[in-house]
Amino acid sequence: MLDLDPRLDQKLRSLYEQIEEANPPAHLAHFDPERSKPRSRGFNFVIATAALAVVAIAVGGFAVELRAHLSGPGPAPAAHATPTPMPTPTAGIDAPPVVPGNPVANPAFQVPQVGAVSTVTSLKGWTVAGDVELVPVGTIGQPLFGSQYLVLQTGPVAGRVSQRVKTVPGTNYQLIFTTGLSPACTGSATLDVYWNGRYVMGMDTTPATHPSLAPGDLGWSTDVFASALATGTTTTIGFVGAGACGASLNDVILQPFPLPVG
Amino acid sequence: VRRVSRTASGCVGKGVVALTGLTSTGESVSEPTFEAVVVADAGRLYTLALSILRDPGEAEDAVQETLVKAWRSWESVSRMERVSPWLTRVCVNHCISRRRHLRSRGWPPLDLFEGAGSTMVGNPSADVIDMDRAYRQLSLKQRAAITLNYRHGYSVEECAAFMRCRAGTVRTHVARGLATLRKELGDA
Repeated sequence: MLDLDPRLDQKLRSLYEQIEEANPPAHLAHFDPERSKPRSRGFNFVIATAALAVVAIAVGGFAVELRAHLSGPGPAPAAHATPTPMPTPTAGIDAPPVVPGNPVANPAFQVPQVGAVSTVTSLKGWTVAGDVELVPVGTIGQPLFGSQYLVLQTGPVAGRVSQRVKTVPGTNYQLIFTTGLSPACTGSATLDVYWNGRYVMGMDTTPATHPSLAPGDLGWSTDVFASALATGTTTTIGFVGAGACGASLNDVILQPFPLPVG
Repeated sequence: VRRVSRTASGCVGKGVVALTGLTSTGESVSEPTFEAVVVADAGRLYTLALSILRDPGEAEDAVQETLVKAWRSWESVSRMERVSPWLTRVCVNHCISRRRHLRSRGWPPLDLFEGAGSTMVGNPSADVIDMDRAYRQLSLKQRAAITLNYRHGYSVEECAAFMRCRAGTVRTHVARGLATLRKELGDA
């Protein structure tokens, strides 16, 4: 408990008492998850589009200036005469969060960088099987973090990624992952989560269950598997695309989660 | 492992996931319902979110987002012995998350609302109004750390688990937040 001087303590307590007098909106007591969507759902797409437009204009302007500079008086350096398009490593909306102590390697699937939608058979840190794709920013949908996201397709072989990470036996962990809809697919979709090879949960990523999303918005959501008990010094975490469409993944974090009392 | 579809009959449109199962002896066992466990906690979560965000609409969004996530993860959430800390963690993280900031950077700017309408109920005293004005100068993380640590009595380590940061970072948020309050109130 904080040791505050009495005057500040009294004022702060009065403020919190005032705040706690506010009644929550009545409809929260009759919450319907099928119908309830936060007011700002879909706003991401608008902001993301605007942000990308600004970036595009800035990059375009720079390219024009560069071209003018290169075509100016004097011979342009040969190495710069024919610039080749390169994937921008940090073109995403936000850089992937860096969580201290996260044992997951390549947690946001930013390595290897791809310039176009690519089927991948290897990912740094991850074991890959089945139909797995990396989708860079500016192609289909937008990642929430970084410049690309992972799609676990379901056919012909279900896409799956897994990674063995260091854990402390007997410690409870929370597996936090950012999941989105599978782009360009309208059927049923699920992201299955595995803990040490055991199926622990399935996230519904069916587009039909997210009708309020704007086109191109993958409805990124941070989900948690919170009752993950490590039984060994290493634990294998895995994600598998299921249903007709599979799912998108953008970030994976594993961290101890001592459940507080209270 | 039991697999529960969130669109199974009994869930759709009712907002209640009422699951029943059978024990090895065939005895029927009622599992906790989503409504009884999660929705019942909405009032507490709303107060918590309002303490951090100081905006009723944003607080409502945070609670709704928390309830939606609980519903989507109900299969594992329902197996927890204590759901309340998990809900607190999700709610706090939504309040201080980058994604919420991203939304808030749109129009209308959140700041316009924060300074404009009073969110106070009743007739608050001048001291409370001054305190609220000073409190709004704090960052969301500072507000979250002080609310959890001071008002709700969680330890620094527990606050760190809720806020997904280190205990030292929580201490820093609390110390800097209190320093700002003292400065704004002229108590420094």
